[in-house]
Amino acid sequence: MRHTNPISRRQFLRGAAGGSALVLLAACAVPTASVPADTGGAPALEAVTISFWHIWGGVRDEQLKTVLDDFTATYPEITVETLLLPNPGYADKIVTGLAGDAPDLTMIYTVEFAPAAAQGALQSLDDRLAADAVSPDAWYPGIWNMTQWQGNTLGVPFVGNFLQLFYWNMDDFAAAGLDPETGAVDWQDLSHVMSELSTFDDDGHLDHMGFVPGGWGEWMMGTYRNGHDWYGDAMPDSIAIDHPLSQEALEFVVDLYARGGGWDSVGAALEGWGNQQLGNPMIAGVASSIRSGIFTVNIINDQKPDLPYKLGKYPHGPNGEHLDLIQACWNMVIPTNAQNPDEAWTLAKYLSRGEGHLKFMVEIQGRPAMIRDYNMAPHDAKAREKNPYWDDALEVLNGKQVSLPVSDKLGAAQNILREAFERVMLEVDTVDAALSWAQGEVSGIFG
Amino acid sequence: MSVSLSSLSTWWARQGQVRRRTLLGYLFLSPWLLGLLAFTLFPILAVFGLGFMKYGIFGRPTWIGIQHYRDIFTDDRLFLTTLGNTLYFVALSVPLSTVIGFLLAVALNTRLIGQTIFRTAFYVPSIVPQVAAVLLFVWLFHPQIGLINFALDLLGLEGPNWLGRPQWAKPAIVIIGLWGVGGGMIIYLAGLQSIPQHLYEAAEIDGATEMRRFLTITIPMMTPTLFYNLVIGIIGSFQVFVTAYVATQGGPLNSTLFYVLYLYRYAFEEFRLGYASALAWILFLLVLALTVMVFRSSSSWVYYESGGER
Repeated sequence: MRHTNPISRRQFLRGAAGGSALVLLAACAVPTASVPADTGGAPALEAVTISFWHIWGGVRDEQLKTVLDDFTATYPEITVETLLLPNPGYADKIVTGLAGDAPDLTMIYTVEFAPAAAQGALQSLDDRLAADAVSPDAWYPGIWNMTQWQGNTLGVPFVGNFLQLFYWNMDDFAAAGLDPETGAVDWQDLSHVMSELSTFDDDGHLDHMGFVPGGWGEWMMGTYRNGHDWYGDAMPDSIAIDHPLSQEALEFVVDLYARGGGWDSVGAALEGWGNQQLGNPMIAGVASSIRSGIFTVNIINDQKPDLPYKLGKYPHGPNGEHLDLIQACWNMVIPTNAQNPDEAWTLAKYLSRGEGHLKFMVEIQGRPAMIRDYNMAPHDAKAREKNPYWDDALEVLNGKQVSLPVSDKLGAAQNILREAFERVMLEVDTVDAALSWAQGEVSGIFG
Repeated sequence: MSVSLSSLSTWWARQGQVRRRTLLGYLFLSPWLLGLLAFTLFPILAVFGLGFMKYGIFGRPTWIGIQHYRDIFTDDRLFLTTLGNTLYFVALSVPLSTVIGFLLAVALNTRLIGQTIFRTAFYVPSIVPQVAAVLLFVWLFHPQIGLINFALDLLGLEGPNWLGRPQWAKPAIVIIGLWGVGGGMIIYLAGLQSIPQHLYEAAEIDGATEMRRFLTITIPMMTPTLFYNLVIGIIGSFQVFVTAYVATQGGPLNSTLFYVLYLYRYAFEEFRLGYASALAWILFLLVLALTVMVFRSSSSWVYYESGGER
């Protein structure tokens, strides 16, 4: 049978190309999200199920479940449904969740906290804090700063990225002529470690690193440990990227990389070890020292308990005013469109300053709590069993804390600084030129 | 109810056969049409509107006119960089994938032992999850232990730091993109097999060499398929995202910061959905203009057998 209007091959291919083009072009579109629903308070007396999003996977997921079981035993009328978010990649879920079907309580990192706060996606907790007579003084000041947005408290701290510690292999340091007990105290020591303990194979490739530098973050850490704060009060006049102390830190990091064979050499070694899934290079035995968080103690306990290591403050620069940088914090926040904010607040308190926080942070994980008192006797007994360097770790918390600004502009500013660092390392710009450029750009962002 | 059914039946009977066929056609098409309206046209129009608004995902959009477009063209320091990176990728990726895919299809269209295995082997990479493939390439491109530099070393060449240097990162991303060339190859293969054999037989009788047959029969007869793949390739290349997102995150020094990755950052890292929407529409218009140009040019180089004209 012959069709009355057959489609020619030409028409078909044209149509197919056109149709496919339209569909593919549509992928240019940015996904849209629904407008948040009105907030509504929920009565707290009847049984309620609340949703709680977090990012603690693996062993920490199990640890958190233990704490949540205790919470349910204490508050039987509240059932907690948890959702483990993928990390990395959790931010997309948080963002769309805050805009639409929000959880009652979620962990959120400072990087996302500030934009969410800027756009009104988070509930103020000040009235709840006042009603429950909860004093902000309980938390470390630098950590508490991370919950503030334009004079309002929009979260309570859960876990802070505040302990950037220096870990070293005591045997290696002794071999390099350094005191294994004190490690590297200042930049001079660190440079010495990099030169003495970095070794290369016959092809000139790094096969052991004295210290593992962490890219542009090393510059940031160095700047603050040299006594300078890039952002001040985060106003244009207080931005000082091109400050001499910042320049000194950048030149120090350039020199550090040079002692490891240069930017490409260090990068290739780290990438290769990453591909081989060696994990922490110091624990794997391919590096003598590293900058890392406090949880590394637990990893060493699990993976290599006989590692002759010690930890302490990150080496400081020549300037006498060393600062202890608090980069970010995982806060607990109640979204504006949460369905059960009262019950969410009960859980937030439990995990941020109540028994749950003490148990999860100090007793189970053996890492310092956000609450100063919980790190002291008698609460710290279990933590000291797990962490022989408990007092060394607390030194950072008791030092001169400076927080990065909680600002929705911080991400853009940090991108500029990363780019400035890359310009220097890739020899596109001199240190002077890169700093001058970054100064202008970052001032413009906060202007 | 019986009245309405009866009325419907009467109305249906009044319709001519052609109209009934047309209506039935649309009825069968309706699921796809509804999907097109809801998930394609509506987002396109919504994004167009949001491009004129300050919209940060959490609050209500507020009208700001052409402010985003003005900022993009006058105040966005990376807009031209990302556009340049993307055009570089398109200019290199589209011709390479077209030529390689086509030549592979021609090679696999000949009778050879293990033909099916080769076809499968070349096609399978295009259905491997992209993230997994990119991670594999990150390893292959490793400057010291990667197989690519190892191979170059055997040839006496010193391999570069592919993903770590601005001048090499973009070519590396193009090479990673060629991993999926098997998808286009399958379409070329189908096109090659639809070329009538009698054309080749007639040419052979006339004494045409293999090269002559390739140039005067294969290529002209394949132009509709080449045209199709070209259009799809251009549009797809402008939307390059996953490779850079996974392998380089836009670095080093923004050398692989492609347009869609840049747009993604505004949308999902800075939550500036309105600005990202304006960026999306600029890309849409750019790709649309190029697509129209390719369509316009097709009358001069695409040969349709049924039309009989060039």
